Amino acid sequence: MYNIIITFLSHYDAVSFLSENRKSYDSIKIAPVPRQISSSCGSCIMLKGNSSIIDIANIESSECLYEIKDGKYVKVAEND
Amino acid sequence: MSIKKENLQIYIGFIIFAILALFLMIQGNPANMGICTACFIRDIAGALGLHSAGKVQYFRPEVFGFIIGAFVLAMVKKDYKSSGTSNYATNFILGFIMMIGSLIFLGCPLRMTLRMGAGDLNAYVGFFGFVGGIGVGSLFVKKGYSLSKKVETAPSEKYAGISIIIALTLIALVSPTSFLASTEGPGSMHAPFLVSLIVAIIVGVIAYQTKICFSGTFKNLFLFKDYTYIIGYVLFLIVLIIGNMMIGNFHLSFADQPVAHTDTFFNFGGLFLVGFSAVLAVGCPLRQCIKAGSGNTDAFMVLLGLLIGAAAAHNFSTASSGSGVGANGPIAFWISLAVLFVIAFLNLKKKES
Repeated sequence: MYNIIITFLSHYDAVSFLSENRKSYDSIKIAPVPRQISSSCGSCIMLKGNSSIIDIANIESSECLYEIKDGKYVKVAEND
Repeated sequence: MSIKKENLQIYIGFIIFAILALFLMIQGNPANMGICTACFIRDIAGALGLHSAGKVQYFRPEVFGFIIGAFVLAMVKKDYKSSGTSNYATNFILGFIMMIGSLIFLGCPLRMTLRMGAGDLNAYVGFFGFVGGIGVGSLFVKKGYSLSKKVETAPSEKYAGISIIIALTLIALVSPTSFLASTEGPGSMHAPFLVSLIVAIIVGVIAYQTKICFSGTFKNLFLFKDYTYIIGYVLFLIVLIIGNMMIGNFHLSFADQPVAHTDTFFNFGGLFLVGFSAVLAVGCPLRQCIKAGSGNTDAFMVLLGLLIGAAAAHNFSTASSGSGVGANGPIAFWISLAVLFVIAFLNLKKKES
């Protein structure tokens, strides 16, 4: 169902993104960062959308953008 | 790996963990303590001569095994890296308070569950305090609590912490008499050194792979309504109950439980401090060991806080005992609670207008 994951520096940043973008996507939720992406703790946003039109450089406090392909997480972009 | 397979790995991890904890009790570790991270850090503080409570001094290899196990797997998976924030004092204080709370209750969340599995009803009281503390901590996280952004660490930092851990483990292996050791009390009860070390390394590997964290289990519930780890935790508890019944260690009561007291308020309050501080420090004592093993410098500061906190708890009589809460336990509790709220409020992220 979800095909994109955006990781954030803090839970608060993820919540802020969720509240600002809830209406922009049909499917969007906040979740713990999957273990395969990171061994550390953290929050991420899972959504259904087109990764090519998401620019994480414009998303405050975002870290990485992943695509879920065949059940695997593929890193598409990373913020400095 | 599919999501269902990933969850299955967590459930199996919890089950193996419970079996290994029971195994260490059978091998000689104190009853209902098995593999308690906080108690064992307290014993290590005693072994290093940081406190003089004669009954709780032993160089517990389990804590070192957790860290080494996580380190080994992180290296194998090529995701070992040095990372952390620059909040040294804050992380130290959070670790310190986590230990003060643990020793007021007499156990970390891991021992709380081991005690629950052995029928200790005081631990069920503590459980509600622990979950309550996580709930309050989670509220602050929702409101924007966050320690500052991770920073790049110096190259020497990458292996500094793990080098100390490995060096101390080797010293203990080669020259065990270098450390103080109890001749009576909980510190004198232990499984064979190598057995403990190997089991702990296995636990470290499992905990790294599955991200098992006793505070994270409930934090995920509060923040994400994610039940994955709750299911694993329930399995963990069920295995402990069955295992304790099988070895004749299940006694359902408040009174006469090993290394436990019956003060309801402080059983609740001690673990409230642990739950609250664990959310603010991002991880229970076990998780801090695993994070340290993967190169997280914040976790090393929390561990240092836990170690010094254990020494302070015994040197300043804030630690409880089987006969009740320590003389200075109540004042330590209220000061710690106030400090946690101050840290939580000070680190609320303010939205830029």
